[in-house]
Formats: sequence, C-alpha cells, structure tokens
Amino acid sequence: MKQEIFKTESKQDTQEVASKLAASLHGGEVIIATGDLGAGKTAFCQGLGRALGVKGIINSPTFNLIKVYQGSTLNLYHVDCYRLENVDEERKNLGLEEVLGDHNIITYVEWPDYAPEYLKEYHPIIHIDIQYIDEERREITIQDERQ
Amino acid sequence: MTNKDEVILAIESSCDETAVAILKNGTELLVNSVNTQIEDHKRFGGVYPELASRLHLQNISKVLSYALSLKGFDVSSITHVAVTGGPGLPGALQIGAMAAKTIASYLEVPLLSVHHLAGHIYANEYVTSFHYPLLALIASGGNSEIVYLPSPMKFEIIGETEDDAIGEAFDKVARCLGLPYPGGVNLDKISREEGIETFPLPKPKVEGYNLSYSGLKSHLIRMIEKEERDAEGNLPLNVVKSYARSTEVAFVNQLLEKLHQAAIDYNVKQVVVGGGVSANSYLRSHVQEIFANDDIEVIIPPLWCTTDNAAMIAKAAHHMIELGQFAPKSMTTQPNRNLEEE
Repeated sequence: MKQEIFKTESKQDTQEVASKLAASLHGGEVIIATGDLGAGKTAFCQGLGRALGVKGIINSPTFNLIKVYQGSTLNLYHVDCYRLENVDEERKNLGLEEVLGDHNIITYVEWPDYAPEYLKEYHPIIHIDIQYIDEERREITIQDERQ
Repeated sequence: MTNKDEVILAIESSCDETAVAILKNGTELLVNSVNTQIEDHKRFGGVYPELASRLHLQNISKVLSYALSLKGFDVSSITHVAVTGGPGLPGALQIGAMAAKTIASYLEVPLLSVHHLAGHIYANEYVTSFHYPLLALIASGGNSEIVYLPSPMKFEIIGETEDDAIGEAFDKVARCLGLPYPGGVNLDKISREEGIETFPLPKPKVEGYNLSYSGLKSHLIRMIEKEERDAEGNLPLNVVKSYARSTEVAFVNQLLEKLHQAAIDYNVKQVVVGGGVSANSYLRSHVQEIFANDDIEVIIPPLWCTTDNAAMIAKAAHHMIELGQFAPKSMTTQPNRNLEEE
C-alpha cells in the first residue's frame, strides 16, 4: 500500500490533488472519503469529476444518496452514506453490488463507516482522508491499496 | 359533469408522500389526498429509498380509493391521468407510474408524465395565474435552483447550488445544534420569536446566479464546535436560538439576493417560490420585502403546497394538455429527469 500526504492551501489546491489522482484511474476503482462535515469531501469529488471530464456541477448527494455523472470515458458514482447512520443492514440496499469494480465506473463514497457491509469489505480501495486545519487549509492523506 | 369537462386524475409518489388529486377544468380541485411517510423515515434522518418504495406500494391503493370514492364522482368522467415521471427515487416513482398507466389503459384516456419540479412551480397557480416571463425559485432538501420560464412549461435553469442544497445545509447545521429531524423545520421553529441576537456570517463568493452553502455550513459547524456546553453536552438554548436565526438569515438572504438580481436582469413579470424550504418563515416574510420597490408580483405557495402533493402535478398536467405534451403508454420513469429538457 502506498501512502501520500498533501497539505493544501485552498479548495483549488485540494481539487488539484484530486485531479492528479484522477489521472491514475483506469476504471473500476473504489474511493472512500473520510473527514468531518465540511472538511471538503464533496469538493475533492468535484476536482475528481472535472478531471474525469464531467460537465456541469457536481453537488452534494446527501439527499439522493447517490448521484451519477458521465465523464469523457468513465462514469462517476458519487455516493453519500451520511444518512445511513443507525440504519439496519438489510435496509442499506443501495444497489451498489453490481457497480463496485465495474470497469466503466469510478465509485466515490463519503461516510463509508455507515456504508453497507459489502462496501466496507471491498478491496482494493483508495482511501482519502481530509483533515481540517483552518478555514482554507487541509491535510489530505491518500492510502492507495492498488500498489 | 358535461362531456366537455377536463378531469385530470394525478398521482405523485417521487419521494415520501403518496398523493392523489382530481382537478376539473384546470381550476377546480375536487380531491387532494396525501399520505405522508415522515414518521416512518424519522429514524433515518431523511427519506430512505427502499422503505419509501414499500410504503408507496402499501399506501397507493388506500389513497386512490379514498380519492375515487368522492361523493357523486364517476370514474369514467376522468379524461386524463397524470403522474410524476421524475426526478425522484427510482423505486418510488415506479409505484405511481404503474398505477397511473394501469388506470389510463383501463379508461383508455391519455397519459401525462409530469416533471416533479414543474409541479412545485405550477403549485403557485393555486394562488394566481401565471404571467410570463416568470422566475421560479425552487428550494428544498435536494434542490436549490433559480429557473426562468419564458413561456408555459419552458424551463431554463439559470442558477443552482454548486455544493449543498439549502435544505440539506439547514439540516446539517441543525443536527450540530442538537435539534431533532427534520432539522431545517425545527431550526425555523425555534428562531421565530422576536429579539433573537444574530451575528454576521461570511458571504460566499459565487458567480452568476449560482448558490453555495457548503462553505457557510463548514464555518458554522466549526463555530458551534467551539461553543461551551453544559455537563450533558448540550448548548444553552439562547446560543442555539442565536445560531438558528443567524443561519436562517444568512442562508435565505443569499438565495433572495440572487433571486432579486435575476428577476431584475431577466425583466420578469412574476416571481414564484416552491419546494419544502418555501415553508420557511423567514423566507416567506422576506421575499415580499426584497421586491417591495419593484414592479414584480411575488407569489408564495400556500403551506399545503410546499410539501409534495398531486394537486401540483395535476396543475402542471393541465398546461401540458394545452400544449399537447402527452406520454406514450410505454412511458418509463426518469429518476434523473432534467427540467431543461421538458
């Protein structure tokens, strides 16, 4: 496993890190994103999506649980398990079993601790952890199980 | 009823309400029946899709038979069946669509597939008729959009949130303040009294008519984390109220300033508001105020229209009939249906 740590000075900086990660994606990768409310998990996904060629706005999937975007060659599934806290396992039916690892799809999951078991047990993953330093700055740790 | 009467049976099941309405001649609402699932979803902190589908399946017959049992109503007088065709939860949409297609096929009447947000916009026609061009603000848990309507049923999204929807950001701040679900509604409830002290919050820089709530939300959460709490970990009530009111003012003002600017720039005759957040008391009282010096009519929906219902779907369908926008009996639902492609 490869681990890299980035200190970013702004949202644009964070998205730059995301776009570098995007360049290494081939399809089928599962990315989990952790960090407090407002750390910038969705902002990171916006950077990722833009680099994958998604046109238009990528906004929060909290309400819908999943939003799907079309990139130039890959589709991006933006998943948010925030609302699945305290939900029984058998009710966490997000229909993601068929999506994980699909070579046309990048899956990006926020709040993976509340995700269904099959997602928690999925490997290899790329784990993005975003820690808040101050209003603008963040520390981003990327643990990549692919290497 | 005469042969010339237009009688629309409308069904809505896109999210957490199973609803049926009957609208006669575009204005006379004969029935408006809604069965809500709010209590069932409470412990999930929001609508939970799989549960929603099952509850729709359970409730649809009940709501339909209630609507159709209207005294003196002849089912064969129905001339059109309308249904919410999207956007919404995939499973939930299918229940309503299946029911609507079955009834339309049985009665051999035309079917209409209505965009859910078109419904929220046209709900305002229960207040007054529309004059175009018109600007609509849709604000809810999943949407924050400013929509331009040059003519009936034509939609152009000129502004939308770049991150969180306003209702979602309200819910998340409310949760950090320790308020119960639905957070946005409870945040509004405790901030209504006079004399609550507010504090200024940063204004996000967003281009054009787009909106942003994520930065404000994060800023508020950091502030709340630093507040002193009692032995049980609760914030003092006056602190919660102050946060609630300040959040409401900052969130809604951002929305209203953009709406006002867009209305002036697009030279519209009317501004209408729709979606769950249009029930917010601060929004309702201030949207009139911000347009006080303009020659623009502001319409806010009656409170019963701020939540999902089928009356609004029937109202939009009435205009679609005028425009000949019928759906084939083979119609499918579109969970990600785009308003601009109507």
